[in-house]
Amino acid sequence: MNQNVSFVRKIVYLAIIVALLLPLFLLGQPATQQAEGSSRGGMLANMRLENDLSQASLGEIDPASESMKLASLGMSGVATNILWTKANEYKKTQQFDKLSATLNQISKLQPNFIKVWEAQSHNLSYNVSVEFDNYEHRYAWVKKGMYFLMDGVDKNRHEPRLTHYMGWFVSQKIGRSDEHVQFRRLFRRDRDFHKDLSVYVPMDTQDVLGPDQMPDNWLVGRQWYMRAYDQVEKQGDPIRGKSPLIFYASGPMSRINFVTTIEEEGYLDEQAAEAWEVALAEWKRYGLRQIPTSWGHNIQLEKYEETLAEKEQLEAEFKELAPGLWDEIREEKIAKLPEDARQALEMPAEERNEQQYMLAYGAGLEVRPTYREVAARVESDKRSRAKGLARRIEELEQFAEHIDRYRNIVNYLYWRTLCEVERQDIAIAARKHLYDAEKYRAEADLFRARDEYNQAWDLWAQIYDEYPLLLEDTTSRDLVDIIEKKYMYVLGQLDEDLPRNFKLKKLLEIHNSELASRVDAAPSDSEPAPPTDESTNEADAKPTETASPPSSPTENSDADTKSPKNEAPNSDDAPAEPKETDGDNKKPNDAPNDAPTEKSPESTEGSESDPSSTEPAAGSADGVSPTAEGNSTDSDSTDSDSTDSDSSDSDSSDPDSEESE
Amino acid sequence: MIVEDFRSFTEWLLPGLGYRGALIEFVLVVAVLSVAGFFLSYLIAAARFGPVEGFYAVWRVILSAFRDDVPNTSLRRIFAIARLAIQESIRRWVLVVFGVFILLILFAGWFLDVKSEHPALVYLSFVLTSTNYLVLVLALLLSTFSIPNDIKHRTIYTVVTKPVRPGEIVLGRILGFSMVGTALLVLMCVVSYGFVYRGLDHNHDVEIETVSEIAGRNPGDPTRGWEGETTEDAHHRHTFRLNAEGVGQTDMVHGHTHDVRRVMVDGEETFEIGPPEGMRVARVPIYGDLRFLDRSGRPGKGINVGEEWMYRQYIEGGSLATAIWSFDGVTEDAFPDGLPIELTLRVFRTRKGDIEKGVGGEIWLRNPDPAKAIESTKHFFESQEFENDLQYFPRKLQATNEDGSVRDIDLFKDLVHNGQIEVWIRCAERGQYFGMANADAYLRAKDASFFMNFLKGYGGIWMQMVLVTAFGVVFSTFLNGPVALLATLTSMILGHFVQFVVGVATGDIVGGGPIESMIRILTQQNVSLDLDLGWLPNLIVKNTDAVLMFVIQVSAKLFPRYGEFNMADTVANGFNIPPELFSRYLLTTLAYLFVVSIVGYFCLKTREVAA
Repeated sequence: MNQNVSFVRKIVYLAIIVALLLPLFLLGQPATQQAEGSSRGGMLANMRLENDLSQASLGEIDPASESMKLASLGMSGVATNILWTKANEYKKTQQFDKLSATLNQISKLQPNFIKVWEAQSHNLSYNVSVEFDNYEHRYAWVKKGMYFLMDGVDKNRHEPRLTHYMGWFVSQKIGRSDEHVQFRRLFRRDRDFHKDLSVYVPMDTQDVLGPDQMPDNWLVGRQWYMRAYDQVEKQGDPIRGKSPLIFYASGPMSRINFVTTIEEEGYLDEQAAEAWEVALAEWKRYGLRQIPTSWGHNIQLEKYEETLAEKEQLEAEFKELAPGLWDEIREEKIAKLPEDARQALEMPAEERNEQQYMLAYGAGLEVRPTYREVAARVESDKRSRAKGLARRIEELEQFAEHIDRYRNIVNYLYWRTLCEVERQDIAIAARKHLYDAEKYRAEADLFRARDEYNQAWDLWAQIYDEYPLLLEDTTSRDLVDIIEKKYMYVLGQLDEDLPRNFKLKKLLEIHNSELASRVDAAPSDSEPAPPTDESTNEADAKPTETASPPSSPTENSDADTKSPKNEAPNSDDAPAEPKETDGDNKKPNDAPNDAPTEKSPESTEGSESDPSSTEPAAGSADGVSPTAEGNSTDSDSTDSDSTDSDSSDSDSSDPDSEESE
Repeated sequence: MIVEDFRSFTEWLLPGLGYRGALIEFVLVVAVLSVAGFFLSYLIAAARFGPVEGFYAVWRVILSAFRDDVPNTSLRRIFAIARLAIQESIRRWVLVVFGVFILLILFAGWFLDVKSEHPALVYLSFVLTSTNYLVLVLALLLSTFSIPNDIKHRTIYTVVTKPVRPGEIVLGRILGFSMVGTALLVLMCVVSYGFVYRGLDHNHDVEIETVSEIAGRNPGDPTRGWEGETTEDAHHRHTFRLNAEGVGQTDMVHGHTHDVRRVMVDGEETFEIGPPEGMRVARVPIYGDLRFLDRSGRPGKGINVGEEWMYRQYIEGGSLATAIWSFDGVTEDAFPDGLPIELTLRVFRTRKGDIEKGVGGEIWLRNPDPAKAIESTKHFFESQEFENDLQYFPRKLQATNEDGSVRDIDLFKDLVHNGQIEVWIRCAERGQYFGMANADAYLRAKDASFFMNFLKGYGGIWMQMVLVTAFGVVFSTFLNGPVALLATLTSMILGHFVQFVVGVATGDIVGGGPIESMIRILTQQNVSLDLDLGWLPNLIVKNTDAVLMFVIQVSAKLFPRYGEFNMADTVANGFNIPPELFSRYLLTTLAYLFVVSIVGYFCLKTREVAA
């Protein structure tokens, strides 16, 4: 009896096992390739295939990763959590080699978890690198983060986000850190890194070489952006979580950043002009790119003016179809308004009280005829045409508004204007004078410095007269900073003040009213001292015909009661940023000057924040806003935090949290 | 390297100020365990035989231990049992573990961060850690299943029917399995050393197109030397600079340098590059005691610059804040040529300063005798973070007189007092800070042998293996195989995470005990919030946790702290394992072995193996 029960039980178990195996087989049968044809496998294999989720379609297959995942027996998530905790501990206790090794293990366990690559590459390049005092060590850790990210790119070939992020690292981390001068120098000479990068992006083309014929980080970063664009356009990979507007702006912005950087480094010649030319063309190409919007239609940033022109043309045609109808409909609407609203509307604006103002505003909107209303009243033979025109005009109106909004996000017009201006000889000359002035100031050759400054201001004034749009941008703020901190220092050393006819007064009024008021307060006879730089060449001098004739620096130094050269510290001792001689010039929130600094008021680099704080968001997009990626603003803004505060450490923050629209 | 325990062997062993000493603690624990064991045995015996007969039963067992078993224990029989254990292990395919190890080594390149800035650290950590885990798992599996299997299959009758004493069975098993583990460990050690040696060894050539002469300072002056770059090998390259004689060294990359020589062969210029130096080292640090002066020069503490990790304290630059290390045992015999002091200071900048240079500091020596108060002139140095910055003080030094003039002084005659000397360090730049812990400045004695240090690292693994084996055998004397395995594994886990367990029990680690943690996990409650279940459930949960944590805490403290025996970090960081530390761990191992064997003896003696 017992034997029978036992036997039956075994049979039941066997039947259950077989019954369970069948759905398991249907679900999990692997896809195979055989000589006589391939099998698509079970349901899971099919789903993997359909959704491109198999390891082979996601990216490079790493045997180490696969074996680690297998060895963890399905507990890779738990193992990752433990390793992540360990990584945090290693970071806290500054055991960075162990941290790096642990991150490698995490990435092997979770090779397709994009956030792992993003967060930890950022951790290495931004947070760990700044823990090192030696800038060469910092550079090595910045690269380590990049290598980590490149590994992620290999393992996730359908994630343009990672490729784009790599572009950000190469361009922004190297080009905008506090140590950007050193980093850029190291990058240019880093042949081994160039070799490793060449696996991914072309490194042997003229397109990545800077003026010294060595790879430039901005241009190499741009190549990474281009690779990301190719992934989207040629492979059809989704951008995922990044606004196309911002995504596609990064490449052209790298070009602009490249030129501004080489100009800062003193390449103020034909090369710079040509580079601006190329940057303008690329920016315009970006403007012609079809950008999907959240309204469901595509726009082209460059087509704003064209859209407006078409709208105006159609409006003119429309008005011809319906002469007088506008006023008629308006009058009718006014007549239908409540008494108080009508009175408020008809009342002269200056006599309205607050309530009446609101009423008049609302009524004004209400009584304005729409194109469709007017079209409906047009004579019957023209009505059909009028309705068509009305519809189109409204469409164009909306379109233009959308383009305008998107243009504002990336500051499109500003950058286009900047490129147009900067490629001109006058801008190059203005920058050259400014560069020379800085050089002379550093050498304590104050007369020459002042003269170069004055010539630069003259040229800038001409530029601003022609392009007033630029008055309110970051570059202009930089100029104001230079005027406030450097030019004023030079004048102070020469016992001079801002001249009453200072050419950039308008600029000061916008950005620094306090300084502007000093121009007004200046004695009328306080003319700028005559330029003393005899070497000023004709070409440079041409736009500055108003400048006084040059005089010798010797004459000036004799004329002064004290020798500024002796007074001013030499270039080694001189404060990089001058201390204010006049307390009035100091802004109340001018914190850096209060820092315990001897040479530079710039504070040191601390832990860095997540790029989410610096990556593009509306209005401060991936360097597209002057604030984010202007000539002077360090978009690694937290690089220059005054202390190594952990608060800016950004492990947990989402690098793109501010990007999506 | 992080070092927090600077006690010498005697300081650890014997009582000191506010510290009972390991010896006293051991005696106390043994006494408590003996009494507890006696009462527990009595309770069990009383339940079975009645209170009086139970007492006599226990007494008889104890008496027989001291009267019969201990005096008549035979080494020959122990070795015979050990031989059986070895044979059993071989039958159970222990060599598979070695095979797994070889596989790991073969494919290590896949998993390791071979581009690390400190490859020696990565390679050494890997071999020591992987060996550690594999050997412990082996010890666990071997030791816990042997006796239960023998009892289950009744093969133990063939042993117990012979005149073999329980103590001999326990010791024999421990010895046998330990010998198997030792043999495997030796094999792994040899393979590991070869792996590390081969992994770190590499050669470079000179990229001849990068070599340039360093011209003399004035036109017509002879060449001052050469500089250039090596080829890229093993994921790095070096730059080098040679003097006018054509001799020099590369820069430090990946934790090592190479000697470089310029030689002329058949009238052609070639460069010879030596093997890597500085990768396989065993520094012998002599640590001192650190104290601080605050910014006004008064005794005080260092500053916390906001780091979460409180290991280091910082001194403010451009002030009187000073870090002072007092070293002992400074003799002419130990340092005949001078005093090499190695620094591993950290830097904290509140302003950028010159980022192409380190932060400036001053270091000088001072006689600790207040009557003399002689100090050497200050040496200026630049900080070198995350590197071992060697500052060398020769025998002949200078001191500044009161009138500002300098005079020659002798290191040992003028600055050392009864073998003691002080090293003073200040940060010279205003707004910048130096960070230091006690281990961040040490006198560097003559390096020890790297190979011996490597062996000592394996010695630490060996001790863990012996301990796990002993616990496994002992647990298997009264538990069946899987339960014994679980118990030993628990002892290992608790032993590895003693600090965590104590932290949870004392509340230093937030989140509560086991039950509270489980509730928080299930309800996804943040650990920083108070548990909110209502006052009664809260009370029950908290009190149950308190009881559980008390039990876990006591258990954790009773088990060996396996993590401390793992000296992989010390070896990997290039520091010698101090003989005193090694002796301490060895003595601890022997003490555990002694106690655990006795427990095992009593457990097996009282177990009815024929049941």
